[in-house]
Amino acid sequence: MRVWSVEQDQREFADFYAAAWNDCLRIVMVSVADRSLAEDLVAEAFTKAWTSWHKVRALTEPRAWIIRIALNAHVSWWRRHRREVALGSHDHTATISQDPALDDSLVAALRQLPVRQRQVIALRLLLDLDTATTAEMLGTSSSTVTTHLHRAIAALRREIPALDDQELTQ
Amino acid sequence: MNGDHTLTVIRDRLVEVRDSLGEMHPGIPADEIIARARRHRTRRLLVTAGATGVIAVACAGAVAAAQLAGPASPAGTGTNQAGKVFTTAMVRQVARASRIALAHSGHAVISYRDTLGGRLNSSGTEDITFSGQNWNLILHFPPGQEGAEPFVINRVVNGQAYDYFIANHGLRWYHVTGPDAVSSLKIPDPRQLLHELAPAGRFMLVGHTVVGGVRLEQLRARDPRQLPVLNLPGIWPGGHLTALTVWVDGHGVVQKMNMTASQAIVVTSLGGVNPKKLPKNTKVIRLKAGRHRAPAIQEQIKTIHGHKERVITMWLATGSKLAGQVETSTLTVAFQDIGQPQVISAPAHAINVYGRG
Repeated sequence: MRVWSVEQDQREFADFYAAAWNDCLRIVMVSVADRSLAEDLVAEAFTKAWTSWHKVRALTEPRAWIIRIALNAHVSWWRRHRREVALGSHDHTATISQDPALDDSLVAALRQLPVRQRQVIALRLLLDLDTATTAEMLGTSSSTVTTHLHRAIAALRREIPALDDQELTQ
Repeated sequence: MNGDHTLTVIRDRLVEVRDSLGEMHPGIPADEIIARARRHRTRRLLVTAGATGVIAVACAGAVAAAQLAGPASPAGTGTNQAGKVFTTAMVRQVARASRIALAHSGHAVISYRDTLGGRLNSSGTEDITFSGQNWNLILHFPPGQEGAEPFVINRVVNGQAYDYFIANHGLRWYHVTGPDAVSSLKIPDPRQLLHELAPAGRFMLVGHTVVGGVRLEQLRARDPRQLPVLNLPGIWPGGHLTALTVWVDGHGVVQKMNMTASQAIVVTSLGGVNPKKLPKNTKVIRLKAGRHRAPAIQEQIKTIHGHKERVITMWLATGSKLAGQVETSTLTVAFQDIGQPQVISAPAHAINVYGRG
């Protein structure tokens, strides 16, 4: 018989929240280039994680789930925001990065990518997951992950040609 | 320049950006995230259950059923959730789904058994049917209790009171026409028992049973003393609940409840004291026996712990004995025909009598 308690789950979730929040927030910040927005998205993703905690806790990499949900939520946020803008176009719509580190041409280019490609970049490059785990977390195949990654890299190269000329950092 | 090189450059630059953001600490504590999730879920449930009629019951029930089954439980293996604690929202949802289902009509059979000092004090069954403002109550008595009738019936139809019992014209229907005819019947509303479905009871899923092909999940209150004791047959106000078990169907609707209440009482022969002389709702806080004086009730105002309190002393007759005993009441309620229309009609040929119901 499997016995579990809410108190035990809460403790486990709180530990995960404390350990993963910073990593998830920074990756989402890089992806959306807005700290306040990233904090909201990550909070929303953690809220959903608690609702589905029995599923999330069993995942190979729960942080990846948080990031994926946060970036999905960003799409919803953007759609809502765009509708509001259509009603009052004088409002300032551009997201503003409060952190100088986010004023990077690569970050700006990353924001232009489709959400799936951004998710692959976030999980493969920033969370350093392998292709198979990334595919598992996104619910897709490894070949699809590879395809998205190549398309993302190609798009970023087109956007920032200077990338090809840069030295590898050691 | 190949793609791998570009990939590495992009990774390094993004990691550099990420790491330059430094260590940050969550502004929202984990408890608040959990509370927010519960609020979201409650709001969803309310929205779902907020639709009208059958849809509301069905949706709310489905959600409650999903919660009963548990998010990680494979279909048909609900017993592996035994020991699962019901959250505040889940308990409230079951109470809400049950109240909605029983809002208009239903049928409940309440069986009670009361023991005092281990000996049977009273027992019986009350069969209650309700439909809107119309009620029908059948009181079944075991042999030897409440006179000669094995049962009596109280009925309220369109604001009129009817009784089926032995009176001047023998055992038959009487239409009682006095001003207090309806209010004096005091037919218990079994839906009051749903007040026991409160989070304070800390309910836990303990298993399931199948009744008539319907699977019922069994919930047990881990802290029944925190739940209110209601004034229903066999349950004395002033005691406390010692056990409460609830059976809930797949729609989250309570089908059966079983509760036990207990209280310690002082039993004595009053020996000539007339308790009717006591002011209403007076709690006797002092009993004295074995004094060489006439039985009497004495009322004094005394200062106890800085507060003026009324102290009622009963002087009992010489030789009276005081004994503490425990009264235990067990009550089982089975809800039936939940939400089904009930036909409660005025009895034909009832004899008009003036009086209380």
